[in-house]
Amino acid sequence: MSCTCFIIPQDVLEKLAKDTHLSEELRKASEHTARVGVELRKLRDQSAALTRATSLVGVLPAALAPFPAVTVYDCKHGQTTPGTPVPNPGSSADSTASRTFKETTAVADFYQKVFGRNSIDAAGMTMMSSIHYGVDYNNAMWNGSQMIYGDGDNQIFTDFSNGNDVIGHELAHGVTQNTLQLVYKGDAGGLNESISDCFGSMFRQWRANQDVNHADWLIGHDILGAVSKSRGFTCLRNMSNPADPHALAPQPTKYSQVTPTMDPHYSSGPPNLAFYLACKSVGGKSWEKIGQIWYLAITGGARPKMKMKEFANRTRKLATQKYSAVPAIAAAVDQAWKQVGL
Amino acid sequence: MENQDQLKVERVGGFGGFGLPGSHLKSKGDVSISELPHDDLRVMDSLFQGGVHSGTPKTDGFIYRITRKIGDHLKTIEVPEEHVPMSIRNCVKDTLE
Repeated sequence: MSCTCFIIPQDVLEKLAKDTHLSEELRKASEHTARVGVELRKLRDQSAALTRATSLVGVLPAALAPFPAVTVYDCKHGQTTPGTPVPNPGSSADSTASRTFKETTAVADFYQKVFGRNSIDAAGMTMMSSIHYGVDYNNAMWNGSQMIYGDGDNQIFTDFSNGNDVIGHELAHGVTQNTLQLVYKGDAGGLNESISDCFGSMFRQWRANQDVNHADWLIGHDILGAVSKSRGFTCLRNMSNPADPHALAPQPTKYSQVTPTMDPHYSSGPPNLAFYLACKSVGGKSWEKIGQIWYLAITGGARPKMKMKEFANRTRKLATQKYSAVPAIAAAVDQAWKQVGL
Repeated sequence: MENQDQLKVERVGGFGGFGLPGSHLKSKGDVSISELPHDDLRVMDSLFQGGVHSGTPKTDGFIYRITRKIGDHLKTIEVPEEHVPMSIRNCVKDTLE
């Protein structure tokens, strides 16, 4: 289910289209948007229905390609996507373009080698990124069909493509959209964000071939700007200690602190910590055992409004089923969730 | 906020979690309604009239919390970034607190 919705009601668009106080250009734009909006709403609703229906009957889409194409576009500091295509981005003189291309390709490789997954949709979907979005734009995001990266203001943040965990995080939103289909609010929103932090961090560790003891478990460490660093901040979020005072955005550590209206980047603290605790308890590399359980949990059937407790129980059950010969793994998962109050 | 000519704007959310409780990341600003381009003013009026108080942002997208004084009371709407006119988006400044 895409998280992009249409915020302007149809009747408002139609009213704007007839408002003679507006310029002709804006009236036409409103009229076109109204007309297109009707059809896009139908398409969106049908797309969501198709995703739900195919997931219910277990129908897999035919593979587009054995390995996904990776494309990069340059927004040239505007905010229209996708922007201008960057030819041969892997060898571009623009370091943002080449880095984005290489790390996105590496994410595709990660999903294929570690989880047997062919791209975001398990069917070779092209992985598209837009870079140089906006001016001094302190953000990166997934818009339902592609990634978007800002350059940062070089004060608080640097170029968001500097963080391979950021790239892994954004792409994981696409995977979630094609698997659990979590909505972006409440428990489901926090899980959506946590899954992206977990898989973003796993990807970063996999790239560096780090085990759980050598990983820093920090989200956004590589995108901090000079001012952030000079103030003693080390990350955006810390999965091993969500309440870390050196994090730019500290989070709760217990589920009892989570409320239904909380921003997903805040409520992701407890499930992030549970993932970290389970990984540390089992040891080795995060993607080898616990990562496999988490992947099975997100591909175990769509649950758009999933509660954190349900996700926790799903991982408990999968741990027992998949690693029945090693009960310590299921025990680690169980204990990790209990420590965050689930 | 006493001035009816003023829009108070806060940008929240995003990958960094701007404006969250305890977050050091803030993004705020204000803009004079009378200085808005004509078309942007019409869009803003429609948003305030259209009953749009929340929307589903892009994952990791920004939401703009916009407050204006209408009569004696303050009204706040929350709008995903792509629907906020650029003249209003441009008034916020990101800071570390």
